[in-house]
Amino acid sequence: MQGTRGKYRSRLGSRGQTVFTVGLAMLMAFPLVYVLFAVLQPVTASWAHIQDTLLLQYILNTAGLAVGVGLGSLIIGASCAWLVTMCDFPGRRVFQWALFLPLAVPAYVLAYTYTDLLQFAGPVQGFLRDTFDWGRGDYYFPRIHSLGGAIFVLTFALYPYVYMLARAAFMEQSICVIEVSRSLGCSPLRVFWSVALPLARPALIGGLALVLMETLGDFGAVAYFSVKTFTTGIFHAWRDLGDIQAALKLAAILAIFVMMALYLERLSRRSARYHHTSGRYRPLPNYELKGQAKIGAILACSIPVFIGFALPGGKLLWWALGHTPDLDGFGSLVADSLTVATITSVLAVLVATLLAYAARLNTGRLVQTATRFAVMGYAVPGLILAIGIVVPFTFVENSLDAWMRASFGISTGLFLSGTLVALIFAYLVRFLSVSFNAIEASLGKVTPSFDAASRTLGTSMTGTLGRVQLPLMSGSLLTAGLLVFVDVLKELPATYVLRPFNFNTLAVRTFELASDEQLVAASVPALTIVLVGLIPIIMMSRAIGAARPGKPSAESLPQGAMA
Amino acid sequence: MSGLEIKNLAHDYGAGTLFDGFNLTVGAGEVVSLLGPSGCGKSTILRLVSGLEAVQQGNISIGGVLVGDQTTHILPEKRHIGLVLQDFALFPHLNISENVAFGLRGQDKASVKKRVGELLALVGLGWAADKYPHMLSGGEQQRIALARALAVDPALMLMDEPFSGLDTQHRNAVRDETLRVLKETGVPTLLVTHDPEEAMRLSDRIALMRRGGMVQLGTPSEIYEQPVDADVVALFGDPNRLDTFVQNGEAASPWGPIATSQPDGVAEVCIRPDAFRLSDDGVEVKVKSQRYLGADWLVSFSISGAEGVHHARLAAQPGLQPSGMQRLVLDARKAYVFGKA
Repeated sequence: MQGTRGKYRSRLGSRGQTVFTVGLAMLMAFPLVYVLFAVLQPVTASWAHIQDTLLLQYILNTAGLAVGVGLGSLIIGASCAWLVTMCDFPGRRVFQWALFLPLAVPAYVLAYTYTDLLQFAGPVQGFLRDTFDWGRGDYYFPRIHSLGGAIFVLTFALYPYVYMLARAAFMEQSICVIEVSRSLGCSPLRVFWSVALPLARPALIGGLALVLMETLGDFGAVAYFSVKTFTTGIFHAWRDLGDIQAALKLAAILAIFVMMALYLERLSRRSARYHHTSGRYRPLPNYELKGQAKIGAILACSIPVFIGFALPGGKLLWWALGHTPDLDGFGSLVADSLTVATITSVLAVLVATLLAYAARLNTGRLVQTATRFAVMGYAVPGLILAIGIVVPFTFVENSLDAWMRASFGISTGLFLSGTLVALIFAYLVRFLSVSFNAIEASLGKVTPSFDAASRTLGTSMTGTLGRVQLPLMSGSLLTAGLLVFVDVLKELPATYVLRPFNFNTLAVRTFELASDEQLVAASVPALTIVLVGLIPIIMMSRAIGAARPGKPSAESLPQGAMA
Repeated sequence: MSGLEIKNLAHDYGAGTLFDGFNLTVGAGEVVSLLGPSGCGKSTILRLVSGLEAVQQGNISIGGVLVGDQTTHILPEKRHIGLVLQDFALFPHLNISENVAFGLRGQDKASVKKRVGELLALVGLGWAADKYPHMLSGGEQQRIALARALAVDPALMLMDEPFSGLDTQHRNAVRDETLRVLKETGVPTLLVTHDPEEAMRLSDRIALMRRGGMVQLGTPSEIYEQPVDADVVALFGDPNRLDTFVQNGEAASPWGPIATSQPDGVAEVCIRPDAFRLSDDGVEVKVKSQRYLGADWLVSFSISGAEGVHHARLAAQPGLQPSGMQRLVLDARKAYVFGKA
């Protein structure tokens, strides 16, 4: 679609769209900006306490977590991506999509299943004691409730981001890799080290950046393991110490780290552009693996799937089916979750559609920049968003309430932070980019000539959207909504902070029950989250099947075939 | 009342002036082509006229109504124009009737149905009413795009390379059919093309464009017979270019003096390849090579008194294969003299 870009689009937008886009960008950027401004606020007593006693620990633990998870994800993600794209071994086709499966299991769910599996009374240690006839203290076993445990859990939950981008990069460079390896007589391993890996570097850095953003923002797993990081620190300062300023300051420092990861990701995207050399696809080389290499490859690909998905998933299923857990309140839990997820999905699709359409019709720099800002929230950890929303919202509520009481004797109460408004706003900031990316890509496939034809036939801007664009995009709108829906169901920290009284989602309930050591009871909501989380992975695996190299991809189909 | 009036239009694309002082009118029932190479600004003029882009300088009126100048910008949907694009832009989710009826919203069902029937009959595709765009050939899609644009009774028809998406086999038939429909409906038409033959075939007048603005405006015969410079001559095949000198209204050439209105001084004479004819009273030339092209022989020759190799297209005759020394006469009407700066 690059060729037709911009030919018929310059003067079709409206001032209203510019105002909408800029306003939306400001609204979406507000929580983060608010948090960042906290750096300038005067210090409080408890901040001094945090600075003296805890800050170094936060920094060290967060840095250790980032390094550990980053390295682990890179190794697992890159090597598995290489194996499934370049080598041939039994089960390769299945592994191609199965390696995505851990994405369905939130890190906090992994954390509590592994706690059960690896704790002293758990099956693994029990098996070791029985087998070797050890007693307590006879052997060393790493504690799962530790920084190492958090690294372990987050690595297996997040490596699919690296895998996803690395796999795409290896597939794109296949032709060049074949030619270099054949002409120079390189061994497959040398090709990996000297050609494929350097070429895939932008993709790997991009995947790493996503992993880092998620790691820095994780709350559930580190909180469950009681690892003192920035996120748990923010929560501690806010809930336990009751010091909003200190919480905001910690959030601001964390936000700066996250923005560094975001910058890394942007950099990788910029340099990744140079690597799209040709649109031609040829079958991939497929080094057929034999003997030990074959077994090694199967093991290397099955271990991440086993640890990140099969084992915890099986454990959840075991608990849920085997122990007839208490289903009291499960109905209202599902109802609450579905309510927020549905409202957010519909809103996110609506706003993303208007935003993408505005960006399509207004090619000026202002609207384009504002659009990027409006969808930046995906990089902001849920907890930072929650703080950046709840503090100003409460301030507005209290001010208005005081004024209304004084003037009219009416109390307006917590009409924002005490209701779903704050929560849904947080979801929207965080997940707008998910729907926007899907919708923008789909809109980009609708040729600008359609705009020109429809408009000259007397149909207005909104009329064209309704009569031409939307019918052509309906499938993608559904996909976009579904992706947001799943993300909302899985979201923990923002929900945990912002949910109204007596409102509970599956994610929050899972976390609460697990924190209460009610692991069996937690299994039902956790399993529900995992099952819902499988939906986008199934969709992705079908897309992978459809866009197998050597076949034309869906994007290259003619316009007429789109509907 | 004219269909289109463009006055003093100028446009800057950041990297410099695309065109400047551009004036053009398209009268009722007239087909005018904007002919020029890609990047000369002809598509930009079409976008400015259709309202897809805003006027920077100058003004545009359609059907006597001002639609765009520095301060006015009537949106495309309010301009009452028809637009046919290279890719036809038929909506894939609508069938042919629905496509043609797209601009007829708000009218009662029966009259829409009647109008769609008339238009499909006009373009000879009544049978396609219930088909979808992808089921039709390129030529058929082009005619549907035309019918759809005509449905709203446009005050002006704009066509951007409407035939270049078609294969050469069907192009001429579709061109003739399109011209018939345009003439039958009498809608003033501005057509953008890079193909000189297409412009000649379809237009009442041709506006010849080059980067920087319009070079020449005239009927097809004026463009061919009274070209303003060597590049205009070259539109219809590379001419032979010979240096010459003008004195007293005559330019010297190996074929004798050629009458010209150019002032005295250094000049260039451009001779179309088809200006030559074999004849015993011609000037002797040495044939270097010859290629048989069916209707013509393409002959390369040299001639004393002019440097380099020249080309002639000679009508093929049975038993003729020009070679060696030949004698050529020149049809001076196809030789043009231009002053050299």
